[in-house]
Amino acid sequence: MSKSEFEPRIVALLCNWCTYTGADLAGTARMKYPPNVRTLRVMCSGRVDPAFVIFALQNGADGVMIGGCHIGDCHYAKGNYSSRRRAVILKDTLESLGIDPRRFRLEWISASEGDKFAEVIKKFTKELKELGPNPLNKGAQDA
Amino acid sequence: MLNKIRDYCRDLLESKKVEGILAVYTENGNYFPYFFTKKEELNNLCIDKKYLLLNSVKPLRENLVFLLQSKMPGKRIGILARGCDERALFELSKRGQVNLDNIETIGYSCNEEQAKICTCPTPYPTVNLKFGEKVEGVSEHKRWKEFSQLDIEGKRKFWEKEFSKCIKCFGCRNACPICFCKECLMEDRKFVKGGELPVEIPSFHFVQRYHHAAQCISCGECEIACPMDIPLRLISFVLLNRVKKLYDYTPGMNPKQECPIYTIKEERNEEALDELL
Ligand code: SF4
Ligand code: SF4
Ligand code: SF4
Ligand code: FES
Repeated sequence: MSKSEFEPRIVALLCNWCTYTGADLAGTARMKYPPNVRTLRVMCSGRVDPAFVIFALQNGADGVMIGGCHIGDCHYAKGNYSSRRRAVILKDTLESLGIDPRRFRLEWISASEGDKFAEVIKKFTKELKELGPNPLNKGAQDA
Repeated sequence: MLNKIRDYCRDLLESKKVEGILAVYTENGNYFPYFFTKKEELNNLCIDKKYLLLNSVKPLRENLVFLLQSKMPGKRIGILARGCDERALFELSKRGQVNLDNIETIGYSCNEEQAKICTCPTPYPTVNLKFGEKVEGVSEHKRWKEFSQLDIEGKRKFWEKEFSKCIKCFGCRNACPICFCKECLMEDRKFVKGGELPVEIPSFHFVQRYHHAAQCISCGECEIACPMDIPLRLISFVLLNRVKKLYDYTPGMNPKQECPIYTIKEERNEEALDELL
């Protein structure tokens, strides 16, 4: 498969209170963004165990994004602080394991930022196209 | 050093300052952890065999010190501690696995040879060193030169080769003093297949390395235990360095400093993190 045809698969783990609602807004407002993303709702970005990211990358995702409330807005006060601390270490771990850390993103998107959600997905999709298929997938592409 | 330590322990027992002393016992070439309560037994106390006293007793997944503490609440317990014993003690106490009150550590240093075997950067207790001199530790992994030269794809291939040697014996986890979870993600059947090889690459090994990013006490037990000689700690060194740079935190050095990954108390350095994302 040539790189130009490659359509990356993105798994987005989104916080119920902000980013998931933001993604919803992007949908209801009919904003255009690439269809490459599969969203999963979690109660807080702090709930996401970094192991989920690895499991997703190992099982078919080309990129994984965690979306949470802006710093200071987490509905559980400090969930996104922990999420950020972990994300930094996670990037290092991915790199040490030979997985390009750009395949993982942490984004702060509020419930009213449907446009930011669309923007981020556009950008991420473009970046992943440049990176090419995730080598952990062993050539398994979407059926 | 051995005689001095034995004398010191004898005094501790005689003066009833401690109920007993946890240390290594040797007999006929065998060695095992033992709770010394009688001074006659001290002739069998040994210091030249490493046995991490704070390791959790599988399958209970509770450590010996905790078990002793629950058996004799309020009593003072002595521990003859190497650097790694002390570090494990501190890290475990931060996670409620032992209680530092009523513990008397008798610290002694290791020699350079032992530090090499363990790839140990701090072969001595940093807080309570009572016997021996501090010797230089080993702060670079023996395969670091080879590994650090690889590009990202090279690293992936490196681990694909290394991890596929893994026989899923769980030695790396069982030997680790910081691994005490009763429900281990490495055995979660949603993520890891039971009794099948090859292991899930790289998630199987990722779990332990990542969980220990800010708690690995660099005792080397995981690699020593690994029958397939997988250089697991190459990853730990990277993570520990990052945690040190960001939060000035080295696991096991200070019993009062809280683990920065799990406690969000001081907001220091927070904004700087965004730049690393
Ligand atoms: S890990 Fe360090 S302190 Fe522990 S036995 Fe080895 S050299 Fe000594
Ligand atoms: S060196 Fe290995 S066994 Fe020791 S604390 Fe770190 S991960 Fe655990
Ligand atoms: S000790 Fe080595 S072979 Fe055993 S499970 Fe751990 S990495 Fe695999
Ligand atoms: S509730 Fe949204 S990040 Fe915690």
